[in-house]
Amino acid sequence: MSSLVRVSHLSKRFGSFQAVRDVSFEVQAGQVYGFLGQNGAGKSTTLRMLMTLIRPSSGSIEVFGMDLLRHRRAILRQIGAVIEKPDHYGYLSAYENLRMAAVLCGIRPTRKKLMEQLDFVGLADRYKSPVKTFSQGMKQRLGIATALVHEPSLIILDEPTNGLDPQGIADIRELIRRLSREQGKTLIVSSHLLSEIELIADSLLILHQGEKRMEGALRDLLNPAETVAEFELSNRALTDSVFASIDFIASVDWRSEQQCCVRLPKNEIPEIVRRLTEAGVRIQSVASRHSLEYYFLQLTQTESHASAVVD
Amino acid sequence: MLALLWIELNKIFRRPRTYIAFGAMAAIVWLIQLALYFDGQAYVDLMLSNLSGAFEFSEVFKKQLLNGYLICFVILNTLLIQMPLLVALVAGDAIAGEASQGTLRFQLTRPISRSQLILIKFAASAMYVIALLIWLALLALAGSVLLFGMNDLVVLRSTGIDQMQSDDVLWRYLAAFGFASMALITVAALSLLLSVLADNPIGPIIATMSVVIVFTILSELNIPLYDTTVKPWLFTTHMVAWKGFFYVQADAEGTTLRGSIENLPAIMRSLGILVGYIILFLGTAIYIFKRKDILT
Repeated sequence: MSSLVRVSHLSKRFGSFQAVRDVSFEVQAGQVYGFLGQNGAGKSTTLRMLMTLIRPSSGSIEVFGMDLLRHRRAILRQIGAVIEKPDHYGYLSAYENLRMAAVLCGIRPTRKKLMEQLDFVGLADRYKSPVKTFSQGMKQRLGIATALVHEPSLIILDEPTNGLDPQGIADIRELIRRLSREQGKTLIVSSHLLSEIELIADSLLILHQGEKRMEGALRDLLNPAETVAEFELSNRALTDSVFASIDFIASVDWRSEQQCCVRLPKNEIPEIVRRLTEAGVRIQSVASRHSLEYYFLQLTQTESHASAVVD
Repeated sequence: MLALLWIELNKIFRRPRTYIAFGAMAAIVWLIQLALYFDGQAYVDLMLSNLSGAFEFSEVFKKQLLNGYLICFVILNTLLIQMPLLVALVAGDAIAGEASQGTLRFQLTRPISRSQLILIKFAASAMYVIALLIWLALLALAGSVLLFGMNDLVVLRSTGIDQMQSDDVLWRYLAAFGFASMALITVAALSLLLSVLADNPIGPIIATMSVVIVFTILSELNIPLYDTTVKPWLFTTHMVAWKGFFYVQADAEGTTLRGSIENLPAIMRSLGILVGYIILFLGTAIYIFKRKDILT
């Protein structure tokens, strides 16, 4: 596969605040590429730099093999984006907003074509309605339609499920899947929701405090046979000695004196519980945690923030 | 480019608040016309009272004085000072309003250059100014002529009076409206520049009015030092140069020369300075906007 986007040593500083620090990554053609990070991790700033809304302090961005700042207009002709939240002209109808987006992209699609786009995002029956009467989910879908109106090969969606109800989230997820599978588009999707990224992304970039913490294919990152068990128990020293005698444990991470996370094969949780109980360790609770969530928490480290991320 | 301009105009004229300016102007013009329709002669008497020592005016002359052309001149004198606010309401909103709504992102993530966007927004603001002035011309000139009829136009000046025959007036109004459009387009360019600096339209609108008020006060101050150093370079000094089209030349007997303008070079110089300001404001707006991070 060829790299559609190549970002090298990208940094952005606002006064004394370093929003993005030395971030590099590559997006391959046809991928759904996930941007994951807590609020304020630098996801939106990076995506804004990709869309030339913000000038990088240093580093370079190549898209379709061209330098972004030198060939801005040629590149933007092939990118569709919804950055942060979809904003439209509320007093105009969905159809008028879509036509305006098309004209701004330098194209004059037929009415039939525009109606097809609205139909694709499920808004054909509301094409005449002023956008101010739309729900957040409808606005989000219209945002995606305006991003697709010029048939771009790269689509950038920044937090596309923000503020949506469960049905809205499912609709957007389905749209992203269809764009990827049926139309072969390359997508960069940012989110602070682990579950969303995990469901749609092929590859992943984790940002934390403006820095890249990890980049890779999701299938390499997640071992489907493995899980993370989070224990609350009574005796750390005794527990450590039990863990030391068990060879299938991949890693142990103590979060406090009473709490630890153990990476182990999925079907071995009963066995580890049995061994601990036999050794006299009092187990107050055990819960299986998702491995991406565990991985993310390990990378970002700050557990207090992590609770917001995994909601 | 034309398609983009059409979009901008569509946005301006589809917004209900755009028509506040048109409505406000109509209300003021109609109130002035109504007052002068019922009590115009008292206004003429008051106007001529300052000159009564030097001139003798017949009742017939006084009656002829109150005609559509004079009413339009009175309205222009009153309204052209207030119109910058109406212009700032639209031009100040051009970038900052879009930024506050988030629609600036909608535009700048499309393959359109930032310079192009500023020029299109400026062109749309200029067209709004022209539409506003056409509306004013319809109300103040056509409306007053219909209500009060046509006759010679008499303009009072500190040095005396200038009288123009009725068939020598219309072209002066066309020229004055044309000049006023350049004056107000200068305000639009200033407003657009201030709009680029802000993310909320209230700031640029207030800032534009503040600049216009401060500059107008400076233009009116009678301080000899300012007369030669500051006033000639303030755009507000030149915004009122449209009045020059109603100051006429006279022959040795004091008879007004048809088609004459007392000081055309001064009007042209004012026009040049206004154009210079427009270029300065627009150039600065483009320079800043091209380097601006869009964070809203």
